[in-house]
Amino acid sequence: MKRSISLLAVLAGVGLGSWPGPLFAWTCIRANPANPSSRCIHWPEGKVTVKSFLGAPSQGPLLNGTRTWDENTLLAANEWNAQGASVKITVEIGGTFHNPCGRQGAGHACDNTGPPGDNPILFANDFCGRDFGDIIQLTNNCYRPDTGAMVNAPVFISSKVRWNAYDGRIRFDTSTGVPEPVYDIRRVILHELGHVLGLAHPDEANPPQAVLAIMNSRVSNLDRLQTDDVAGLLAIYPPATQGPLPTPSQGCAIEPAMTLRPWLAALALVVGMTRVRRSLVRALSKRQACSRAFASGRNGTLRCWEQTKCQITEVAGERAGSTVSSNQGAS
Amino acid sequence: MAGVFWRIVGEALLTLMVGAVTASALVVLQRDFHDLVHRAELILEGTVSRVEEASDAAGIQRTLVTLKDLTIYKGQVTEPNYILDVVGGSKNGFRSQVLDLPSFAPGDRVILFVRGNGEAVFPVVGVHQGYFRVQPRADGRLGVVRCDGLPLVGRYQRTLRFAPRTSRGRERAVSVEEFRTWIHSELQMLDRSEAR
Repeated sequence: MKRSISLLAVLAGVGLGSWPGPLFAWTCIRANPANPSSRCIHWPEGKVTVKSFLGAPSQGPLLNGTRTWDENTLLAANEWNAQGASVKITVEIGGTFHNPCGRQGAGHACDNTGPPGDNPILFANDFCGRDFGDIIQLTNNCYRPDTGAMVNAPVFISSKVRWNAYDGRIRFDTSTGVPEPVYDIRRVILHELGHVLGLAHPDEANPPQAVLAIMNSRVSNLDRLQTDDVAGLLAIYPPATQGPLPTPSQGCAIEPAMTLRPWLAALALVVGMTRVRRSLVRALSKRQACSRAFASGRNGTLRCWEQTKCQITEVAGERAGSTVSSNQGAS
Repeated sequence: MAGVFWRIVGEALLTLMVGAVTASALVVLQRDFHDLVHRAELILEGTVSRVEEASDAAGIQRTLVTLKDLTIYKGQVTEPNYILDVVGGSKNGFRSQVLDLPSFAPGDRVILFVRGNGEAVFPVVGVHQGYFRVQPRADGRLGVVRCDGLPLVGRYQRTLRFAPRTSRGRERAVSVEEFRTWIHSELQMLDRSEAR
């Protein structure tokens, strides 16, 4: 019996251990890094065109059945586009090539990024004369720190490592006797397009956190977008019919309470859980107040939402009502 | 006795599962400890005193990280400070940034396995794999944490072992003295193999 209980404890521990951490742990590059609540860098018009210059492999079809590297750019872009965000990635295969390498000036929005709006994805031996070192791919984001508006973001993929396209676990080539990784280009482009959209690495956030995400700094056995990636995308580019979502850095920890259903409050009332009832009533009143304040400022930006939330958080132990009134007036 | 056994099994499984979240291959080439020591042209410990931006000879903006209070384990530095040259920077109201690269903060005490400074995008072996921060533990001693937040907790042959990014994991981080010992012993092995 004791052993069974211990086994259950172990299994519970394993379950908890595999818990990926906070649900909304995504991170982005803030327009002003010194201000963690400043806007994420983003495409202001909600659209970005990337030009895929990867071509086709010489060895025939890839392991996932595609015939060209460029098809994998399309697959990766489609996966981001399918999430319902208010941004759309358009992929052009080939087209006019502008060399992204060069000094800022005519034809280069930033150093080594090419003309504004030009976002090539290309194989390269180096990054504009700089050795890749141990890097196998990178995105050079060019943006305006004052507004967070992205200008362009070329993606460089090292031609010095082995590539293919496949789903599932990372594969290794053992033909030489020394296992050598064969990288899946589709998931790597999926990751890089996340950078193009403004997302950063959640596993490098401060304070440290563990989360399952294609946007983690390492390519892993994950080969599709995860909940956290999508949450990040939708927060930066909220669907047109929906207001901005909370971001983890805003510390608006009352969010779970806001998702409680009214029937839960009723249940709590029935069973006479006085303390639970008190907290639920408080949460629901915050929810209603937030909804009103937010609805009236729907045409505003995240700032309106943050302001409302944070002010409510500040007075959570006191009288939220009076603060909400002033918010409504402000919005 | 049985309780202790199951507790150990539980903890082992827990560690494995938590570790699995952060394991696997890399966006960068994977480097083990042997690679870090052998491929580095310079291994140093220092304090980040300044992070500034400046143009290179071709007029391309880059970020310069100045390190002071240096201890050199491999290679030579003739100046009292060492400057690490990383791509990216701001110019005329625009900023270019490679999002995959780790960052530096003034005041951080770091241990770096440097290679290709001034020539590579990020001149550290394995990018984040060769970049460690020295941070205080609860017992007052200094522990070693990789720049992506993984506490370094052990070494098995060529492979470094890391704990999850939790406060408990950080308390298990090896001391900086122990890490220095590992570097020295690996360098001695390198010397011996070169002498042969």
